[in-house]
Amino acid sequence: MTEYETVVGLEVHCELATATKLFCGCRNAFGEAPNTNICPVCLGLPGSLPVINRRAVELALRIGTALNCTAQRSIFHRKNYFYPDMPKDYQISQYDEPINVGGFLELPDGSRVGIERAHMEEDTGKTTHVGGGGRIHEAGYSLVDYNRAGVPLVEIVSRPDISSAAQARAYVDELRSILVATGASDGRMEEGSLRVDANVSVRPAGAAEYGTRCEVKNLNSLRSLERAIGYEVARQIALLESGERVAQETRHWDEGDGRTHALRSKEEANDYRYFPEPDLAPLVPDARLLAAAAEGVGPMPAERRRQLSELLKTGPEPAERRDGSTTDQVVTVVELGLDELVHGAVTAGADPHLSLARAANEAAANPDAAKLLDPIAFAALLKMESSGQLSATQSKEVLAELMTHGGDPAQIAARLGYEQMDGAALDSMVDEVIASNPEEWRRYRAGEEKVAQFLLGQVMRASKGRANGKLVAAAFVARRGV
Amino acid sequence: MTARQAPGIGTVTGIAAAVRSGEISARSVLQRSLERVADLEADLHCFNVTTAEKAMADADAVDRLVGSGLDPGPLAGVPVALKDNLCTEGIPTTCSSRILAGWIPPYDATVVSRLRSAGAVPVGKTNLDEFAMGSSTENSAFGPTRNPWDTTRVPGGSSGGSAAAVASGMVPLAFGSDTGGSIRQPASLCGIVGVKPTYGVVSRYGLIAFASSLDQIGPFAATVADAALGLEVVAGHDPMDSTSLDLPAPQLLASLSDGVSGTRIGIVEDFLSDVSPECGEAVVAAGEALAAAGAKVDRVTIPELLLGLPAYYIIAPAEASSNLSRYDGVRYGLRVDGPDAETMNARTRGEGFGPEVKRRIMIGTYALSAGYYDAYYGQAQKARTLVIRAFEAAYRNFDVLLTPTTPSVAFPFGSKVDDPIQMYMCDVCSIPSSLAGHPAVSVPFALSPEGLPVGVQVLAPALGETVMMRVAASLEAAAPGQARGPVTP
Amino acid sequence: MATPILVGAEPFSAAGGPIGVVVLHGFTGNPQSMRPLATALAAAGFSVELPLLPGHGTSVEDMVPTRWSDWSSVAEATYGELAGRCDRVIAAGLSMGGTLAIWLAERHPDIAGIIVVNPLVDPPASSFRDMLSGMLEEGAVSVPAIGSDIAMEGVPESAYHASPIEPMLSMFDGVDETAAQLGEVRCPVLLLSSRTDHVVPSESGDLLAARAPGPVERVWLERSFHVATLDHDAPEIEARAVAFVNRVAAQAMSETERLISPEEVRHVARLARLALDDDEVGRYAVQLSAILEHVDAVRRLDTADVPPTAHPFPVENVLRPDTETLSLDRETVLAQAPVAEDDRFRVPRIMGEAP
Repeated sequence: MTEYETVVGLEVHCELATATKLFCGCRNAFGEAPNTNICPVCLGLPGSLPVINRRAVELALRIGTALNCTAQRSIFHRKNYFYPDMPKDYQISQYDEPINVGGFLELPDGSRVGIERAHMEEDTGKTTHVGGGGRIHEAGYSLVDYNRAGVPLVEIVSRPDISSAAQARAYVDELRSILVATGASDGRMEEGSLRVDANVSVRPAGAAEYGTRCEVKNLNSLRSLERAIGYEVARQIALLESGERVAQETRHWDEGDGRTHALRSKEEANDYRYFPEPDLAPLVPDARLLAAAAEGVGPMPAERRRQLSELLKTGPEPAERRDGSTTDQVVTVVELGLDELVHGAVTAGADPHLSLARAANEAAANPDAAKLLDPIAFAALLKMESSGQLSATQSKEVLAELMTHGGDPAQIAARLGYEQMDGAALDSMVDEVIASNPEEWRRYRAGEEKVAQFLLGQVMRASKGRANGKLVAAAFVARRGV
Repeated sequence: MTARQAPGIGTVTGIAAAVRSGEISARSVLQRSLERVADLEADLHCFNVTTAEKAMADADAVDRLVGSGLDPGPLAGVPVALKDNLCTEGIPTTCSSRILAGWIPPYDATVVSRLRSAGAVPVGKTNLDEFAMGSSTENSAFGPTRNPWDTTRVPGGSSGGSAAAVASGMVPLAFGSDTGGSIRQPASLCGIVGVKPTYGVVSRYGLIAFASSLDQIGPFAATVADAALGLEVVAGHDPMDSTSLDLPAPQLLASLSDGVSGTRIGIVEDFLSDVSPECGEAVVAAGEALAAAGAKVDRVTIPELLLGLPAYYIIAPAEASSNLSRYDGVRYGLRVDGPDAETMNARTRGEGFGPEVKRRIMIGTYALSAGYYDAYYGQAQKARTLVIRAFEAAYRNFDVLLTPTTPSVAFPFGSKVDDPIQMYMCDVCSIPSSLAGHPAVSVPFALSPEGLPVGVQVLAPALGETVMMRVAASLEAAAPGQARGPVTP
Repeated sequence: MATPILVGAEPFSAAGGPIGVVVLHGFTGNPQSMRPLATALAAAGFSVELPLLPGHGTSVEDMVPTRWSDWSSVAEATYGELAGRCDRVIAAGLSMGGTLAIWLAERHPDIAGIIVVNPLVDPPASSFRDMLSGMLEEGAVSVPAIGSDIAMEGVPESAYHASPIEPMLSMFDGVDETAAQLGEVRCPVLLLSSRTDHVVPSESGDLLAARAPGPVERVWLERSFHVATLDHDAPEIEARAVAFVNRVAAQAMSETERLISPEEVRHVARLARLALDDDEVGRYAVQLSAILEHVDAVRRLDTADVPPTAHPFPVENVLRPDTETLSLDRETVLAQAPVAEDDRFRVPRIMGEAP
């Protein structure tokens, strides 16, 4: 049986978070009453003319920079085709002179996916199909709302560098983080702020030529994306294995039955008759635009992950493994926007690995509250844990309290009764456990390490979790001693 | 040919001055205009719609301003006719096409707003060749307009209605649009002045697009001074039009009578052959008149300009094919039903568009289509560069150029409409300046042996309106009075 | 031993330009009646073939065994031969020659046009044919001739003095066939009809003018009888024929030469969402080809190193601030909608998916 490789290219349409549309001053907003944000321009009324939104250009340049693209002089083209959601029956887009070319996106695992281009274009209206099965060609008729027509989009086209469904998902996930980080988008896939089409093909492993590709549409979530690509790859391989050819076509993902379906074949491929948009002047990324584009933009997720990893190197290697791998923790912390918190805590003297672990695991449970944590307080708490004053369990409790109500960690610990247990009290508790469990004690002294956990647990139970695990363990070791 | 000269209701400059000073009321001026319309409209069919009531309200508003001592604007009380491809809020705007029959724009074109702010009183929307495609106004879906000089002949096109309205004295000022000659040619055929400004000088916002990189709005009037005033009022930067030049309106009136002493004028020989004798002779005579007035007149040959016609008849239809896609029966205008959206689109457009519009949409679609783009549209845009360069070279040695406006005088109805190529040839002299984005003006200069008006065209380089109108004014001074309208049929 | 061809009845052939004309004489006639027309066409520069139809131009006995299919095959072969070496072919004929020209047009859609003088198109009544059949049964072989119906004095037609019956009946069958398919005559037609024709009644011309779907230009000849090509109006016939050939040759292009084919017109109309019927497709194909030919000069320009001009003036970065402006009132907009429902624009079902 032949080994096949998966080849995927993704086209992601990103709605820009501008106040107004790309070519007119109508509000750019989701979910408003139909046809209330329209004007002669975005409705394409006879005599209307487009004028480019400066902010949209700045955000487009920002996206290009975030994706390591080259910004260049660009023009708009008309893409001519008829469809009821297109007010002018042509879309103003960019063709062979787009604003951003040639970049790459770095995934959390370090791999890179090439970016062909990220160009500007206007969005279309929204069509609702009525009657029939809700699918287009079964519908009785359609209703069109033009609120979305003219909303600025940046279309990001990847190179066909993606080699698995999982990587495709990771790509979109990371891209989304980047787009949100730039402020260019709110990243809400469920609201259509981000729309993904996948170009999927397979080829025998090591083959030089690409196989026939199919375009897969209607991918409304990361999960759909991954499932759909998985399905499509399997479908294509099955075809090839049975000696058939893969037909080049557009396929629609059906979340319900978990399959892609070929759309009704059109009589002919679309001839878009692109020509330069005569109503608009070219865009030149001059100093003013570039400066505005760069203004107020922080580092991208990849850079933040790098900075966090660097931070970890400044602390001692942890004695034991924390819960969760360091890499995963770094990804999580950056994704949730808690890296600043960690940096702040470390600057205030907390242990880097512990800060990372607590941020990734405990603070992550409530990211909005976590973002409001005072790094100094957080650092203070972590120092209490590092020094043994608080057990891990206790530390987590205090952190939860800190996030819900704020305050001072030492005071919270006191209020919760997490005072450092008296050394004598600890000793007497240890002795009592030894006395109550002679058989286990004998086995421990004989060298059975497993029993140590049992004995430790007994002390913890007796102390109602107040005992410091490290100290208890040390106490047992000391008594076994001689 | 039975037309006789008849004074209009007044000049633009005269009326504005009189109304502003309170000497006459805007209402009374409007009255005279409406009477003229009532008299002649049945014979001439200049208008698709007249808006008497609204005009009365506008005129009264002007009079109130004057009465309160406030400034009513430089065109106070001037009745004006607007080509029916200019959007007028609340007033049907059809482009003389069935596909837009009954459409009412919810906004005013910038030019229309500026005219109203200047105190002008719009009287109605004038007839045109459908979607501005044609040179005779015979392509109107609502019937042709007749030439006031001879009602068996065309007024020219596509702005035939506006030209005839001024030429018959109904209004002293009208506006049309010019893509390849649609202001200048009808001006010539109707014995009046017609101006196409530099591309970008007048906002296109609200002008229903035919060919975006060529369309311009401009004035018709009986005199150069009137046309200059009309142009001054509407010109200047508009942020709603990205192709509008970021410059204030040109100042033309001040230097209009400065004369042409020392002005270098080139008669373009390439346009003297293949035109009717009277049209060629008029240009020669015009050159002599200007020389007599002190200009330096010479002949020049610019053969590249003849590339203009074929390049234009690729570029204009290509842009038009895209601009007219929006008429699909979905959001406004005519809808002819069908079982599905595509069929509805095709039937709507099949029935809603006339044959000339369909021809141009198809040529344009063809020229842009896969496999043909480079050979046709791509090449045509390069030919355009050659035309521009040829003009640049010529303007190193000349301040303005002189040509016939159009190859013939007004022709009889039906004589060219069945032969598209013949009709297109009407634009051969006017197209090159459109391609280059340069300004041009047609000035009535002579009468043909049958007594039909012959115009002469003055071309200037980009933003050369000032020298162009100055030369035009000199030509006007040298021309016989009977060569220009208004006339009554 | 073949009967010698009558003097003046020889076939006529002239090599000329890329436009060919087949010229066909009438029943019991011969090339003599068409020679002046053929000569005029040749003088105008066309390639002309005027064949002698089987059984004609020798003796009437030679004609008795011949039938419609013999004459139509010669017409077909002559047409084919000309079409092989010419860009466009026109067929011209007098009387039955006209019928043959119409018959050719029905079979060859790319014929550029036909010129018919007093053609026989309206089939004779069956009573007349029955009478002729009756005579045949009684042993008659022929009836008195139809030739020489000419108004001008002293101009004889070199035709047989008798009309053989069987060939005549066969000709009528051919006329039946031709009349039945007049709907296929889509090419331009120049129909010249003598007001006074003692051989073929004017109903024939009327029928052709009414039924042929292509453009029919009808000219009345006031001063001639049936064999008008030899009569007073001959010069007018010749002049009009030459002008007609010039005009239709320019219009009708062969498939390979036409710059835009009907198929391409259909394709473009689909792209542009324009519903056109077949007539319009054909008409626009011709008109658009003419326009494309006219703009062809641009295609052939040498434009190496010449950049295209998209805008007359180079401006850049024309931008507006990201601030909200007033939107349109929804009710005003929807009031203009052809069909609105639920605050939205309603359209019939959409067949394709959005690209």
